[in-house]
Amino acid sequence: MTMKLKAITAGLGLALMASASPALAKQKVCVFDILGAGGDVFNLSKDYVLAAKGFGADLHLEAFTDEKIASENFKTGQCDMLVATSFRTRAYNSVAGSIDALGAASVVKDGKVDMPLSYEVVKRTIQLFASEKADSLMTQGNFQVAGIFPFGAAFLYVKSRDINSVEKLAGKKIASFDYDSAQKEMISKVGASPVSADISNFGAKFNNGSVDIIAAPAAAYKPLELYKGLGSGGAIIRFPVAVLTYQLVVNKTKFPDGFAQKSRDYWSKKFPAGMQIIANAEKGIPNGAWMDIPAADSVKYTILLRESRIGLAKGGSYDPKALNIMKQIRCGVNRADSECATKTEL
Amino acid sequence: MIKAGVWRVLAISGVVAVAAGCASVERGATNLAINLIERRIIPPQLEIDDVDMACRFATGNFPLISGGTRAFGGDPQLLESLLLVSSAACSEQRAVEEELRYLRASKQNNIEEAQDARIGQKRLLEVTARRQLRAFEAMRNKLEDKYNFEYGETCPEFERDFDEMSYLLGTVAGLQAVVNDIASQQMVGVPTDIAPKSERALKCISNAKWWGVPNAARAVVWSILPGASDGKDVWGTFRLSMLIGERQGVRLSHVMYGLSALAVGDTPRFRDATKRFASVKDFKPSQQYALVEGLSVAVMTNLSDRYWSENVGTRTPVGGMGKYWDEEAAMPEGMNVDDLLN
Repeated sequence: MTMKLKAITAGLGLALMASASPALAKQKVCVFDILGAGGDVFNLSKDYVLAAKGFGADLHLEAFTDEKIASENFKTGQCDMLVATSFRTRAYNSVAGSIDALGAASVVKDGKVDMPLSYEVVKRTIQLFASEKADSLMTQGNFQVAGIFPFGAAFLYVKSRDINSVEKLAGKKIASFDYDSAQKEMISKVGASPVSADISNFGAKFNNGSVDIIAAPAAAYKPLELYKGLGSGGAIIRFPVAVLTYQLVVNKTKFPDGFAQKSRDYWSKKFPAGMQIIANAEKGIPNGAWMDIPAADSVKYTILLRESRIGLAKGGSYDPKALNIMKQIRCGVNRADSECATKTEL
Repeated sequence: MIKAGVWRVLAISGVVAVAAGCASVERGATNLAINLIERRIIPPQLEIDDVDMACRFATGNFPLISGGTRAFGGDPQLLESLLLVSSAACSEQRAVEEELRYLRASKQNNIEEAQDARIGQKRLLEVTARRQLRAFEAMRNKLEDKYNFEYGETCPEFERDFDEMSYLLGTVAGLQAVVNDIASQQMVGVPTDIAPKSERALKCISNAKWWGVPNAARAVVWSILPGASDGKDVWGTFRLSMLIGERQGVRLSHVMYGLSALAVGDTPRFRDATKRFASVKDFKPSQQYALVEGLSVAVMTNLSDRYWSENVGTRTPVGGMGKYWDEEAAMPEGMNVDDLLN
């Protein structure tokens, strides 16, 4: 009897202790950062871990320098959250994964691309997707988007300044990441030849002349020494092909209710921190390396990118609803654009 | 009238010539003094293994040495580079203390304390990255000027060991500046092409002469820069460099091995780095470069403290480098637990 009483008391004690300091469930996070634990994304993720404790999660970060492995580990349940580029996260949520659709954020005014407004489109889209009302859009099956932050615009780096129009892309060799259907679509549309590459060798292929053109964010310019590939004759075309984002996706069964929305709100507020890193990278490119394209060609690029993304949406790569939302946001910042005569993109 | 004018011109020219002469004499004397410091005073200072003393001296005296020698027309860039390398060790140490505070607070779910410590850590890393970038730039500018070469593209032919050592330490500082700037949330804007340039620049100096550090530092770049490791034996390079460092009494390559392992999240290799660091048989610290070995001990202890704090909540126990909480102590040979307890 005494024994029984002791056991009950001990059990009650344990239960009370547990309720006095609720233990957080532990979640493993696979973070893709090309520089591993020493990179920008991993560094931002460390701050996020602290904030996430406030949302009821105890996150444990693991760095991956190979995005494919990080994504596979998430897919097979070895981690509960994935932090990766939208190239990979698109598979878990096509709506959020369409933010970086070809040309979806590019704002052209008076024949010239307006970079601050283009980033404004991304910012507004991220804010919209962070809201509670977007919860159903941000959820597909057990996967939920738990944050989006900017990684920078992807520009075309060309070996020769003669490649200054859409027509002149024909026949050129362009580095293409096999896992990104958007690149393949655009390359075939302009009549260029894709050359298979990945993140570890596309810079070297451009620098040694194996390809004529690559698409890359400004952040790649210095560490990959892309100025060597540009030489004196090449240039970076000041027209964003897409604005790349990093996204966080969770397996919602492993997180407390409401976690993903709070988390999206956190990352939405971190947008300026991401923009500062992008601004540093874009400032690091000398003025002389940029090439502005004539107004007529801006229009041609805009049409090319629009047709490509509509084609990709029809093929299932992008989400039509997301493209329509982004069109409305583009028109919100640039009402005069001719595309704003119609409400939807497709 | 004309005669007076000529005299006036001559007098002014004379004053200008004397002044110019004075400036030139001053510059010559100052550069002589700088040279003397580099040749005679720095070597015995490098024999002192007290990192705390060296970094505080550098931080406190940098303005006087830099300002004083520049005021008299001298070019103290190599001295400045060395002082900045040393001074950065002080601010980095303070940043690590903030990081440990953050890790402990995070472990206890004390969110505000942890966030405050992260902010403190980033601020100090910004200071550190600025010092390291300046150390790198001062070294590069002075040596490019002196030896007429292009850093990272061609190699200089060094006349003296001091220049070669400055080249090595300044290059390592450049790499650290890149890493610390990222950790500070890019508050400095350190150019990231320092990494590939440094990798090539390090080929210019002897790996065998400089404790295995040139190749170990190159291997750090291989392990983090996309595509840089193609065809390279990253971990084999560290092993060879550590062997050289152990023979010469400077274990800086071990630190680089540990750093790279942590960067790619390879815990077993990180543990291996600390174990090897702590158990070099008959290790004799270099007398000539005791300060560099002292710095290696300080940084390796910091790395180990971070790992311990993250996992256990305290820094490395005294004398506990390379031993871990989850490892069973081996029974002494010949002792059988079952026999003794039954």
